[in-house]
Amino acid sequence: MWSLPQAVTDPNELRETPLLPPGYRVPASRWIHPSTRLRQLLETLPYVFAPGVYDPHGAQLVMYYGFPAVYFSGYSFAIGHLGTTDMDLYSSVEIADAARRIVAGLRKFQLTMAVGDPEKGIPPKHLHIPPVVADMDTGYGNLFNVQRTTELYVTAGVAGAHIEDQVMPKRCGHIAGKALIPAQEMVGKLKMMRAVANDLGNPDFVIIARTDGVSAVDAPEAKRGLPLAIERALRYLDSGVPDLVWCEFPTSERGPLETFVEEVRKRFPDARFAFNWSSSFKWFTDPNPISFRELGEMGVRFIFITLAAQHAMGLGFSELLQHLAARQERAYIDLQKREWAEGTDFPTRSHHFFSGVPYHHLLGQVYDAPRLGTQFEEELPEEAVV
Amino acid sequence: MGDVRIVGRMTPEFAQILTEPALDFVASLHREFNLRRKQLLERRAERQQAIDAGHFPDFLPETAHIRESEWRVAPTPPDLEDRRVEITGPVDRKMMINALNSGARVFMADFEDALSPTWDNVVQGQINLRDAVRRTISFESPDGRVYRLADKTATLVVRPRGWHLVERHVLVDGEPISASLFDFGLYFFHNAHELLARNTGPYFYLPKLESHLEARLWNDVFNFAQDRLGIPRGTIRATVLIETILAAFEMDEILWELRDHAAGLNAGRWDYIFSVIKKFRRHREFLLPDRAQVTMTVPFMRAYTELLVRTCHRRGAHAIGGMAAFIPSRRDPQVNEIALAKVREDKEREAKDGFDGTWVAHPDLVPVALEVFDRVLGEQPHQKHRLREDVQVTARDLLDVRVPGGRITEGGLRNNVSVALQYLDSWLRGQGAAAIFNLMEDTATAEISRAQLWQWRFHRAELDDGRPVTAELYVQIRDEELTKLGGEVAGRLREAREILDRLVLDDEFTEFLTYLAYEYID
Repeated sequence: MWSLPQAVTDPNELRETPLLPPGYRVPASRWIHPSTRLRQLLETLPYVFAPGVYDPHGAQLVMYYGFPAVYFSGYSFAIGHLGTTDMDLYSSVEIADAARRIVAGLRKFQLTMAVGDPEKGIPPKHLHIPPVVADMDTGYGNLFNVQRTTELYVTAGVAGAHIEDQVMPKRCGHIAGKALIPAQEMVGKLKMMRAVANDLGNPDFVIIARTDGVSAVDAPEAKRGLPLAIERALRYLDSGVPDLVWCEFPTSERGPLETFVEEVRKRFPDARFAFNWSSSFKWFTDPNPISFRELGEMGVRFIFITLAAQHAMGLGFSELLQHLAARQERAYIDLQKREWAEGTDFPTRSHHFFSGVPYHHLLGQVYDAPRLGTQFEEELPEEAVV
Repeated sequence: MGDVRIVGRMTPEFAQILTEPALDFVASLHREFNLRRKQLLERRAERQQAIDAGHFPDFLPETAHIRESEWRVAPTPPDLEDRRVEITGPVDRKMMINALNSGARVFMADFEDALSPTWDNVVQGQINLRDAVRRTISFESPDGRVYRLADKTATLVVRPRGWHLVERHVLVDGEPISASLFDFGLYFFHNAHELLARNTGPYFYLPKLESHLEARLWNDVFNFAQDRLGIPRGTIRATVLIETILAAFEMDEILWELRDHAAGLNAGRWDYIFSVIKKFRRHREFLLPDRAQVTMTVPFMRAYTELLVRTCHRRGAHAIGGMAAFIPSRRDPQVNEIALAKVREDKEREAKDGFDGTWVAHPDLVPVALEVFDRVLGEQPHQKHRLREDVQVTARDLLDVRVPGGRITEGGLRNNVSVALQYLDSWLRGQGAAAIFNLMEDTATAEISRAQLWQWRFHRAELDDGRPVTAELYVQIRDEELTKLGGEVAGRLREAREILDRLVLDDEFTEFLTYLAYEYID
């Protein structure tokens, strides 16, 4: 899928692709493997921030607004696709399939946006495909489940994944009662991830080791709390596998994070960290919430809000529903007014545009399937659809 | 190739070593790793500041799990299995042949403390190594004697220069190349495949490490180099010299970082003493007595060497003892007898303590050391089974530098001045290993002498006759000792004096005497 027609030197350079009509172009970064792209972003940006999504639609919006990466959250997936909570209630195959659809959706969206809407005068928009970092929980089982899951993720085109040291079934990092597997077993899982990625020809696959040590109530070690998390992080880094380490904190307090980073850096001065700017923290009650920029300066290279899309959807849809209940059709008219107000930029206001009707029409013509294009015997009543 | 320039002399022979692909290789090492090297040197300075401020070293809390858990280093290759006696010496052609033929199991060819790193010495050393690996090395002395390799020779191990040094005759992108990467890279590039074809391998001694992070840098260099030459990772084997007080706190961690490449640790005793003086120079309680009294049996040296054996054996690595500095004299039987007795005593203690081998600096000492180790090892190649679980060493033991009955005497002061002057003179003249007062002096031993002079002057240490060591006293003794050596006109003693004055009289302690002295050589 990512074989290079020619070497990519400038990812911003625009190039033609057979998947677009002649004359239309996309950024050359399309042909950089997502894992390689993620590594480049981690190297060059002060930090990579990724909003959390649960479906291709959300991921496409993240891409539309130019965020460097997409975070595919397991909890969001559980809520959005199963209507359940985050306690290993879905399987590796289910989430890997969802990840595959997200990656494919982003590649498609790039083509969609590169066409714009010629009929309506909407110009092409050249978007980079953000690499997708996916939640792998515990690997959905033991060592060999990790082997299978990693294979599914890598072949899905996921750029990187995080794995955590909880026992199975796991629970969300912010649910009480977590227990840990032995450190050695976790190291084995990490090594397995790397081995699978290498075997599949993607040594750039980014691996994030997560420890739930801070708030775990049960672990083989004598230590508890932050010292346990630090020790776990050091052990994982010692394996040489993780590209980043992530410690799951129970609160938004800065102190423990600073100590964690400081202690790990004593031994791994170049260590890079991931941080869950979690929806579970009541950031609005924190008098001094830690900023992304501050995190970047501390060495946190990957920052994400796991449930960003889920909360936005919950809030936005709830508001609409409350209004619909109270004011019926008027509420929906108000929504549309907001969508179409002058000066706004909501790419979703036209679901045809967002999902790529203009693209498909044009491509239908290029590929000699006029029935799929706009060349009908009779004029299509264009004005009838938005 | 990018911007790689040689600013040293070139000859047709040198050009066989400094080929374009070889330079390309060492330049790629430098470009990849020099920034980290410099950051680690900055880290050394930061640790020094902390120590100056009274934060003394301890075992690292962040690596407790490495010390506490069970793991072992990679298995030893067959030709490093038996290391009961190792001979060390500079990469001088004749000395190399003698050392390889000496009957020692291992020969460490030294670009570091036993070599004065003139451009000619360094490049000629690489030529000599290339020929030694291919067994074509020979040497004809002016008197017509021809030196050749015997059928059975020692296993070759190479010691590149330490992380702190640069090789100023090669500039990469306008900057002097790291001497470590230059020495390592050239030897590895030219010889790795040949060594493997001869059923041996690229083996190294790594000097002057101060932390496991510096070991990690070496490990990354090894991986990079092996990948580049298409040699499996883990082919290289490295023995690390534990010769700084800070490294003594991180022995487990150093082995851990290098675990796929680690072959053992060596008690680099002379530099270790130097390091203790250097690191704690601002603290009066670390004043050490006359150099001759700081022997291997004083408590802090016992603690360090026993901990080294215990650490190595627990991890399946060889523990190699240090160099006895005494050298025999073929002319003076009385000196000879004393020297041999002292060496024997030293080696007996090491063998008894559990070391798997030891160092000598002169071929005549090989039989003495062999006899001692043969007696303890017998048919076994090593004694790694002796886990020394009885050894319990705390941070306090490592830092307790009290020497029972220790004194600072005028004789000790004079000896330090004279040795430092003579060694610097020798080094400036291109000889990095010099016999002075029947001891083999190399950079490490000379460092002890000059560091003691600084420490004593800085703290106005009292001699046993009550006089404080002052700058004036130093100058007086320096002049007297200089006269005994023939005055400033002899050899390069004028420059040696200049360098020593700076080393002793500057209020800032100079980290390495080679920093200053390197400016004086070609």
